[in-house]
Amino acid sequence: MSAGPSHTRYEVGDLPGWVLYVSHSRAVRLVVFVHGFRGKAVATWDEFSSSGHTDLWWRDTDMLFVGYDSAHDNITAVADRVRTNLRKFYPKPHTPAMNLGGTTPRDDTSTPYGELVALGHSLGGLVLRRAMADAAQDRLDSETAGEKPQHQEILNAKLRLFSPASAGFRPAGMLGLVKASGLGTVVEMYLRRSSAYTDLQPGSELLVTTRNRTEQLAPQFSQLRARILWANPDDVVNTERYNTDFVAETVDQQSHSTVCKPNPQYGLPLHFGATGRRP
Amino acid sequence: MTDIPLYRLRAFEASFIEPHMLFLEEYPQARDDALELLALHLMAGDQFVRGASHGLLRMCLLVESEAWLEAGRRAGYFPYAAGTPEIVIGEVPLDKLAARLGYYTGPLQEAFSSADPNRLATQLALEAEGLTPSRLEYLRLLIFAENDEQRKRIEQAEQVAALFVRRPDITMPTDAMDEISWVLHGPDDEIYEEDDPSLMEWPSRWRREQSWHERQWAENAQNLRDRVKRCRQQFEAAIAQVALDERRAGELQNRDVNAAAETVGYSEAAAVDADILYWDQEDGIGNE
Repeated sequence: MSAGPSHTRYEVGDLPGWVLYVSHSRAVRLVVFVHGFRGKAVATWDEFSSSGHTDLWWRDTDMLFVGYDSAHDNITAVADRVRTNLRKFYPKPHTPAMNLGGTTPRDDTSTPYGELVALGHSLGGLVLRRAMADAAQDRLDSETAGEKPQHQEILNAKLRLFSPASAGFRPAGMLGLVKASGLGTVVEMYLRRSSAYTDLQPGSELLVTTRNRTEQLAPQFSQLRARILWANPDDVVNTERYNTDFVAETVDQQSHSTVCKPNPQYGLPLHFGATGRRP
Repeated sequence: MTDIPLYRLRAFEASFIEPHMLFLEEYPQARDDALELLALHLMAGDQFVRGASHGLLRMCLLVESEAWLEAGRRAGYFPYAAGTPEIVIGEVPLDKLAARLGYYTGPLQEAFSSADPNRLATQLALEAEGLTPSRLEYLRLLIFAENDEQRKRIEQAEQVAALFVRRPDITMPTDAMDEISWVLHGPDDEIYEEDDPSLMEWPSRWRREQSWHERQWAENAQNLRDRVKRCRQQFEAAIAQVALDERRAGELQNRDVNAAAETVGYSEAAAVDADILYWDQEDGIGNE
């Protein structure tokens, strides 16, 4: 392993808050990360961004961290943004990041990736589910109309979720969220009655339609079946999977916010992100 | 051509330097006001001056960026050889301004020793994420803004907090929430790790609240920070009440009418028995 960081952080100019970690090896895959409530690329996912220093699988991976503002943004709008912008990053590496002022990050900057993985935490899990269900629906609609479907890249993804919010908040989950995401996040979501607040009430239209569509489409689109790692205890979201998901796994002594954060003592998120399973 | 240190440098320039340079170019009045204030400050000796806050904040961040560049070169993370254009603000080179801005930032480069390039890369990423719009506004108001603006802005937040405590079901318009975002998120967005004393060695030290006692401007900032803290305690109490009410509502939904009536009668005790989170006047939100 070479000395120095294996990746360089690149801020995507036309998509505020989106950050690409560009590998200095030949990247054979792209992993897309979607954070939860007012999360941040590095802070939410902790040592994922530096994992290439010690882990070959992650060294050979470009990492795209999707940013959004959970206090302002509508969940369906974020899902739409993810679905429609992914073509700028996959299957070919993001062109603007591959040459900065005449300098390239690695020798091979044009070979398409051979694999796509989508990781979502909390609200980010719901965003990814919505994006994938919309892409699948669009493919069926386009085939019916005899048109070419668009923005289908996300259907190539292997979907892996950390404590997804797909069944909404737990009762009194807001207080757990204060501990997990900070006071300001929760106060702002509530006082604005943001999408992230209203749509995550159990039984909301968004939760129900996303689940129904996913379960209806999953028999035709196996990519919609998620592999899930739940925190135990999780005092923020209801830990309920969809009927079409794989059997979920649980990790004890991790909270809603720490379940997706690898560190030297907790390497499971790296393994789960790479394989969708426990060791 | 693949040159990894140079690639890192270009990425750093794009994320750390260009946004502040662009701001000063797009708002020349803010830039010129700050330059004029700095000139007056020199004439006035050590007299504390505030104002021209938008320009001063950006200039201090540019001084900090220069220190990160030097730290990166020493660590072998950035190249020494690559020609990075000199930063000029108005017609004044940044290195000439740095001494005057040191009034706010302190001697940044002297405070930094050396770093492991991996640690440096991680820290740079955290710093980039930590400078959110809310955090920038928080720093601008606490460190650089004049008294009148500070008072007006904190009073806005205090009014919203008081209203929220009185009426937990209230919904606020977007504009009002945007105005108080600095109180809600500014303190939360600070890069802070309790067990990491090395943070105090980095060029961002000047804007870390742990270091503010060393600063000449700290007394004024402390007063505003205390009001922000009290204001956030009100928000915290109100949101705890909302969560409790929602839990009660959930209990009501899950029982039949007779049982629901009974629940209302002992909901306080039931809440404690159910091991829910509670609000404590001294310690804030905790776990029973």
